[in-house]
Amino acid sequence: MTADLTLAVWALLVAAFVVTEIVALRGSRLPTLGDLLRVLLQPRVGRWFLFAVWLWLGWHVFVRSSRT
Amino acid sequence: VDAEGAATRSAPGRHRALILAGAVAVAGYAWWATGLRPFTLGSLAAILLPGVALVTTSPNLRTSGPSLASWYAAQRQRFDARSSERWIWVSVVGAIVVWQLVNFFASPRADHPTLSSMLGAIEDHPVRLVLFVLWLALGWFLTRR
Repeated sequence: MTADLTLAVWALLVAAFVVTEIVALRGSRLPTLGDLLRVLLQPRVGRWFLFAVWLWLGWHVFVRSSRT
Repeated sequence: VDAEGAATRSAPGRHRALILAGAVAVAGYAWWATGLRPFTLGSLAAILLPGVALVTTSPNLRTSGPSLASWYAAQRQRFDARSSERWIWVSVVGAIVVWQLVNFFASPRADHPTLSSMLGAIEDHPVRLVLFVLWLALGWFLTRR
C-alpha cells in the first residue's frame, strides 16, 4: 500500500513535469526547460556546476547501479 | 564543371553518412557502457570518457560570461517581471525535490523508492541504453549552449 502510494505520487509529479514542458513548448509565456537551462548556463560557474551535476548523475545512475 | 557538380551533390550525402556513423558509434558505446559491472574501473571510465571529451572539445566551458553578481541581479529582475510563469516551474521542481528527500530519508527503500533507486532497478539493457544516450545528449546540450 505504501509503495503504491509513493509510486502514485511519483507518477503524478512526473506527469506534472511533462505537462508543464509540453505547455511551454506549445508557445505559452511559460519558459521551456531548455530556456531555464540556457539561463543557468550564462555565467561560467553555472556551466561548470551543471557539467559537474551531469557527470555526477552519470556516475550515480550508471556506475553505482550498472547491470550485474 | 561536372566534377565540381558531383562534388557539390555528394556533400550532403557525406554529411548524412557522417551523422549515421556518429549515431552508430554512440549507440555502440552506450551498449558497451550499460553492460558493464557496477563499481568497476571500466564502468567509471565509461562515464569519465565522454566527460573528458566534452571538456576538451567544448569552447563554452572556457569562455567567460557575465559575473555571478550581475547575472543574479538580471535574473532577479526577469523573475520578478514574469514571476507567475516561473513559479510554476519552481513549484513542480520543488515538489519533486521534496518528494525525493521524503523518500530518501524513509525506509524501507522498497516502500519508498527514490528516483535513482527506480532508475537503478532498471535491468533491461535496451532501456538502459536509451537512458545512457539521453544522458550523453544532455551533456552535449550543456556544453554546447
